[in-house]
Order: sequence, then C-alpha cells, then structure tokens
Amino acid sequence: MRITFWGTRGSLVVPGTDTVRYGGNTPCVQVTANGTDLILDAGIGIVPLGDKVMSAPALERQKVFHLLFSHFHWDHVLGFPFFTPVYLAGMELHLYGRNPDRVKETVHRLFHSSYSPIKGAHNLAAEIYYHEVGDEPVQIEAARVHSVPLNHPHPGPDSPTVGYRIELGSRTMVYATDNEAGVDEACDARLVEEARGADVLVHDAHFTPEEYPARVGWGHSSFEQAVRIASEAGVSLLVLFHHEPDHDDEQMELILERARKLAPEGLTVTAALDRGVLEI
Amino acid sequence: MEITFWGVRGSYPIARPDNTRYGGNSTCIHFRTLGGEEWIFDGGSGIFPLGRSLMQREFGRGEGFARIMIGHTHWDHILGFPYFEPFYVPGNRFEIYSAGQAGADIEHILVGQQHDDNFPVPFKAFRAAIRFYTLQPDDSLELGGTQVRTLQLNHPGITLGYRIETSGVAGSAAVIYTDTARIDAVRLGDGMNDSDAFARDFKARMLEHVSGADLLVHDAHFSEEEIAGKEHWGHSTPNDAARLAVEAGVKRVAMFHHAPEHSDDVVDELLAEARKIGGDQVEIFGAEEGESLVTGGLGG
Repeated sequence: MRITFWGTRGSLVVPGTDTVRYGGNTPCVQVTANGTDLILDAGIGIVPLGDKVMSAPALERQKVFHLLFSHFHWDHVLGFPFFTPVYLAGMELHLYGRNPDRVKETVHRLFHSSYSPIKGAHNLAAEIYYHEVGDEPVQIEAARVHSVPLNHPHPGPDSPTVGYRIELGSRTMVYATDNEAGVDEACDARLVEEARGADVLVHDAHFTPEEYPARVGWGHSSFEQAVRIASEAGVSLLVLFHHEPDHDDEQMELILERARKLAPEGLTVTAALDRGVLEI
Repeated sequence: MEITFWGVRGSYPIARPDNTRYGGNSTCIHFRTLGGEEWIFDGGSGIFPLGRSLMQREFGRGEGFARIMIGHTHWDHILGFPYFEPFYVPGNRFEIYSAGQAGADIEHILVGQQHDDNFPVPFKAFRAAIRFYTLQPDDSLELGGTQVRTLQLNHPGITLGYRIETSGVAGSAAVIYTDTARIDAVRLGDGMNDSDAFARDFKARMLEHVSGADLLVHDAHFSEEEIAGKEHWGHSTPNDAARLAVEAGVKRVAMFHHAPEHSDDVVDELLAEARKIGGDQVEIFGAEEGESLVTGGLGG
C-alpha cells in the first residue's frame, strides 16, 4: 500500500518560508494498491494531485476517481473546484460520504454562481456520482471500506464527521482526521476497536497538550491523545496529521520528537508532510 | 496612503516551496489612508495573517474600525473571512462594501459561506459590529476624506475595480483591478453582452478610470502562451497590464493575482517581459506578500 500525503495542514492553507518542510496545504491523502486508487478529502492538496494526473499523456491518463469525504468543513473540500479532472469530459468521479445527499449539497455550494465562475455544478464536464459509506463495508474496486463516526462538531446526527477503515491488498489503513479524542469514551472506544490491528493510523494531532485545554470542544486532539488511541489499538504506525496552522517547521520537529517519546515499544510515530509518501 | 500586500495569489491559496518570495495567499490588500483610516481590499486567505497583525493593535482590544471593499465574491477573494480574528472581538466595527454576485447581496453570500456543514462558527456569531453596503459599477463616493470610484471589470459575474485617492492630494490615486480580461477578445461580465456600446466604451472608460494613477494593482495571471484558448477565463497577462499603464499614464504597476502554478522564477520572467513594454515610463514589479508601498504620503 502506497499512501501519498498531498495536503496535511488543518483549518486553512498557510504558505510561507516557515512551513516549507511540512507543507501548508489542507488535507488530501491518496491511497493506492493493487491498481485501486482512493482519495481521502479534497483540501487544497488535491490540486497538485490533479496536476500529477494531468501530467500523464491524454490516452494514459487516469479517468476514474474515488473520493471519500470525512466531512465538509472548508479545509476538506475547498480544493475540489480546482481539481482539473472535474472540467474534463470522459472523467468519472465517484464521491463518497456517510450521507451522500450532504456531499452533493456541498459540491453544489462550491460551484454556486455566488462563489464560482463556473455558475453551477451542472456545468461540470465530468460525470459525478454520489455514494454512501456507512457502518457496513462497501467494495470500492479492490478496497473494502467503511466509516466510523468521530468526535468533531458537525450539524446533526445524520451527517457526522467520519473516519474510514480501508482494507486494501494485505494492508489496513485507518484515516481519522478531525477527531477530538479523550472526551467521549464511547467514541474513543469505537475508534480504538476500528483501528485495532491496522497497519497504519492517520490521526488528528492538531494541538500540543499545552494548547489543548483552552480549545476543548473544537473537535481536535493533542498529539498525546493520538498516541494514546494508537497504542490502545495496537497499531504499528501512527501518522500525525491535520497540523495546527501556527506550528512552523521547527515546532513540528519538536512535536514529533515529543510524540515519539510518548509512544510505547512497537509503535512507530511519524508526522505527515505535504507530498510525503509512505510505502507499507 | 500606505499599501501592504497580504495575499497576492489568484484562484486559490497554495503553499509551495518555490513561491515563498511572492507568497501563496489569495487576495488581500491593506490600506492606511492619509486620514489614518484602515481599508482592506478582499478577504482571501491573506486576511488571516493580516488579522493576526491587526490583533496586536486596537483590533485586539475591540477598538478597531476598518472598511472592507470586495472586488467580487469568487472563493479566492472571500475564503479568508471565517478566519479573520478581529471579527470575533466585540467592539470592533467593520463596513463591508461589495456589488454582491448573481442577484445575491454580500451579506447573504458571506452568511452562506459559513453554512453549518462547512464551517463550525456561523457568520451571525461574529461579535464585531459588521454593516453591509451595496455598491454598483460607476459609483462615486467619499468615505472619510477618501474618494472611491468603481468600474465594472471584464470577469464572469459582477466584479468591481476600485480607484481610491485622498481628496485634494495629488499623486495619491491607487487603482485595483484584481480580475479582468481583454475586452477585445471576450465580454464576460454580467450585462456586458447586452450592448455593443458597452464594449466599445469599455476601454475608454477604463483608461479614464486608471488615468494618471500613482499605482495600478492589476491582474497578471497568465503568460502570453497560457492565455491562448483561455481568454474567457477572465484574466490578463502582465503585458496587458503594462500596455494599459503606458496608455493611461500610470506611474507604477504591481502585478497581482499570480497564477497558483507559477513559481517565483516564472513570475520574475513574466515581469522582465512586461518591463520591456513599460520602458522608462512605468515602474513594474510583482506584488509581494509583506511588502508596503506609499502613494501621496503617509497617513495617520
């Protein structure tokens, strides 16, 4: 399984010299194995992914895309109008969420004439299909995927923020961005169960433990909580994700060093960086 | 007036190792007028670092006042507003001016941006006092000793260009055209196709609007190669901006709305080309985040 981190920053894009190493683009993660290709979230990181797709000769270009949304806060969707394949006839985009109607509503908002020169999602040349991913695994090409509700402020129980458990080839990945661990025991227990035995857990690590107490209820974890969830689930690799926009590269190095010290034996900890690739 | 660039990138903000010199934030410009007032043009992602900076001053104490002018409401020009910290502080006061878009007024558009599904805090929860004003093309108004004149630009929907100058102060005029396309190639703005006279007069009215400005901030999105086939996207090249400046007797041009795929080196190459057109007559440079300029003297 190959995991490419195209965007790793939480909340908003933070360009500049302070974030060159870890990157400043908002979330987008690509997971590939055995010819299956999944995209998780459509923050600004999806734009360079689209550029990579377009760099292939037209006849060899990828035509079918599977894009799964954790939720619809801007940092997870605002790259979508700038993902070049949506403008090309012959492209087929399958969009997935816990509640596909809400995925569609946000897509329509993204292209609405108030905000976009496209003046409506109906003007997109690509074919767009909406699908539900609930508690029961669905098959997406060679992958088995299901969703797990997370603790993150979002309107209504019919459309919670979700993580995804992805079984693909011989590997299992759990993607749990935008989750506040350590306050809702039942939610934590469920995520730990879902992540049990996974090869890799990508988890929200927005805050330091010092920053967190003033931000309770914002829907994000400290790296300390991310390490706790990973160790309780017995995963072998934890990837810290959704970095706080104020954390510059220097702070990120310190955060990673501190998180590694907290990790029990058998748990490797790393921090996602834009354009970083993991082979597991 | 003192003018500072906080976001110079067009289409969307992007962090890239090779764009850190000009910057990757989407559009936002701060003005301090000669009367000492704060003006903000656009609320792209650049308004987040601007907000941080304002919070160090009276806006952090809830004593700030600023006017916000929006060129148009496409994402790259408004996506930073939900993250603008001075909006969260009671006591701060803001006036937001815009032409709206597609029949929707600016309040409706900004409230819609903070829909429950897309942002955890609704616009109505901002604690600052925010008032909305609707502008039209060809409006002329005086706000706190500063003259404002609007012009509709050639861009899909409704987009305003602004000329602002301090009343009675020579050499203070700055003109901001964030998004505009060649009128001889396409007519993109709402209503522009309804009348041939409009298109015929457009160039003359633009020349008059820009005429003699000390500073023109202008759309410079495409290279000459890139614009071929994309004339209808609503953007210009640096060469277009340089030609307009020469014709209208503008002193300085800040190339703005850099394409997100352009590295700093590419921007430099485009500037070098445009300088050949500007010659000795027009000073040409690339708008750079963090950079400040002065027109007509320093205020407040």
